[in-house]
Amino acid sequence: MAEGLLEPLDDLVDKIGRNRLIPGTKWEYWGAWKGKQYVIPAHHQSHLLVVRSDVLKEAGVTKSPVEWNWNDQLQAARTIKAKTKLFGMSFALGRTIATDYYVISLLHSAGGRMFDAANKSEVVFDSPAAVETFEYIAELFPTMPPGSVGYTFLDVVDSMAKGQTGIAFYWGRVFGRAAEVDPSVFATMEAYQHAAHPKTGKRLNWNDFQGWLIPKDNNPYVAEVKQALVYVQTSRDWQIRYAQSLVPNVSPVFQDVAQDPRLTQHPFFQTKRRTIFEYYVEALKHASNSGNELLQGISPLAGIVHGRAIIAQGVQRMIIDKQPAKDAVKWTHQQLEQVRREHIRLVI
Amino acid sequence: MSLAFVVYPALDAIRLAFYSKLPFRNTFTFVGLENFRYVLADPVFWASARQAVVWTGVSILLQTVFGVAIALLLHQAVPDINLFRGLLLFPYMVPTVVIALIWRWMFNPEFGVVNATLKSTGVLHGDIYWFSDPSWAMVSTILLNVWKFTPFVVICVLARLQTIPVEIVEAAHVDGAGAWRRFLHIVLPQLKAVLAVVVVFRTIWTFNKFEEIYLLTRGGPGTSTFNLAVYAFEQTTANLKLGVAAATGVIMLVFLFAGSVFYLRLMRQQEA
Repeated sequence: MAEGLLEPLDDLVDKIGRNRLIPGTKWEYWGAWKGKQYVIPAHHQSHLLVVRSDVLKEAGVTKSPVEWNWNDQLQAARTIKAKTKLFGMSFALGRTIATDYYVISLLHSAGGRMFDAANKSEVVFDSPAAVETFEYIAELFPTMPPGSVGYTFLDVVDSMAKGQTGIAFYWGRVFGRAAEVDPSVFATMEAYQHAAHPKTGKRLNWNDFQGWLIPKDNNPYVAEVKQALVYVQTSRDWQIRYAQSLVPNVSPVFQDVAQDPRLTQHPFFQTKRRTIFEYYVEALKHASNSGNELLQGISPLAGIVHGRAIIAQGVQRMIIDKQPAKDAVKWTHQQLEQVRREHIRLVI
Repeated sequence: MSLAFVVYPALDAIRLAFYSKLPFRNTFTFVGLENFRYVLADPVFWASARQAVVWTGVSILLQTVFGVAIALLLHQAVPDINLFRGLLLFPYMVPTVVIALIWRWMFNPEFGVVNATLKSTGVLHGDIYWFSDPSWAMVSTILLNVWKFTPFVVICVLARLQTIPVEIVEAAHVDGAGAWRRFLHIVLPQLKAVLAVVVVFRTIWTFNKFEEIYLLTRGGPGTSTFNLAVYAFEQTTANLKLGVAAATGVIMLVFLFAGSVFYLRLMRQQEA
């Protein structure tokens, strides 16, 4: 967007329906830059707190995940590890983009962020919130599978779906996978909004606002693609089939689609209705990501940061190389500054 | 053919080491020695270099020891020995990607056959997390490399063994030399030349190896199994720093050239 590589799509917004978006969202969440819309919404998807209710019961954890703060979550993970044969918590700590997503959601809840969108994307990562986030991950780590230092997305899915762990952060895909590989695990899984940060009270998730964009350079098919986009975005049948293709992983983005009774004609709605709407609707109240930090503006640098898995590398310095959290945070901050220096043309 | 497929790409890579190239923009900017400065100031480069030395050194040592030992066994006049010689080539023939995937499964800490065997035989009580612990990850990449490439050493050494006149060995036997002394004073000196070539080639190939490490550990956990080839790859794909990757390649070339010259001179001095 920032380099003019994409086709502006403002002409499609009214054709698709400017007022159709599901409450709690705005067109620019999917990708707008300097007042122009470049991305047409396909879906939104958040990672949430996924727990096995049978495991909590076996471990004697009685407090509902709805009421958890970070301390409760840590305590629950430790109790599961101590009192059952499962690991307490699972999320990705590998040198991958997945780890960046996990860490950033915790960072945002703690009150930190990577860049200051209002101030030419100045790097503001090195903060007490970032140190607290890293230290919290270090505290959680002993409750996780040791292999999690190499985990990416699918490893987390497998550790949950195959009954290895009691709690995970994950997008809706983990429910589909569990239903495929172990229906008994699927039956006991539920999703909740994330545990609240004890001081800020925030429960922010990582929400992928994913959509369609059209490369501009040397693309002879721009008109055809626009025509196709208007068709799929205005066809309610197509939209319902798309959402049902991965329940509850791809949440519908248009209100008329979300309210269409045909949407709930999927077997998962029989047993996981509450969980599905946690993903579809409730998650939007706590949505964030680093491409649009705290929903305060697009950061053109975020993709470069995650392409290099810089946040993951910072966390690994603490977990694998045993550096103090504040040193790992400082190193990460320096890497972000380098990214900003290299790509300063994108933000000024 | 050599000009097109060896000389030109090598020269172009050297040229790229002095430029900054952004793959998604058509920019190609001369930056002088900036890429080399970046590489030499990067702690991950030096960690990768140290790990490359460990990975190469231990791999070559084990391949040479096992290669010579297996070659000596296969040099025996035993019925159907050719069958064993043929089987030996198996690891060398299987594509690396297949081996890496099988090894990942075998070394899986929860359900892999390696941990299961070690536990059932009482060697191990807990689980070894082969790819999650930096030391064990390095061990597993070295084991894979040794398993796959020892046959190359065996073939070279076996070929040389078959050209050593039997009379010399038998004469030493008659003179009362035991098996170890016959190996040390007669067989090993005859193998010196072939081992020199094998070690140089295996060192160059192992130092440059990419796919075994990347497929098995992706250089992790962290960057604990990065070698310089993986470092260069990461600079290209994750960081999009093509010039930095090319500079890394040039530095690798210098390292290997210097190492090879030193080793061959040492061998010549010993022969003299």
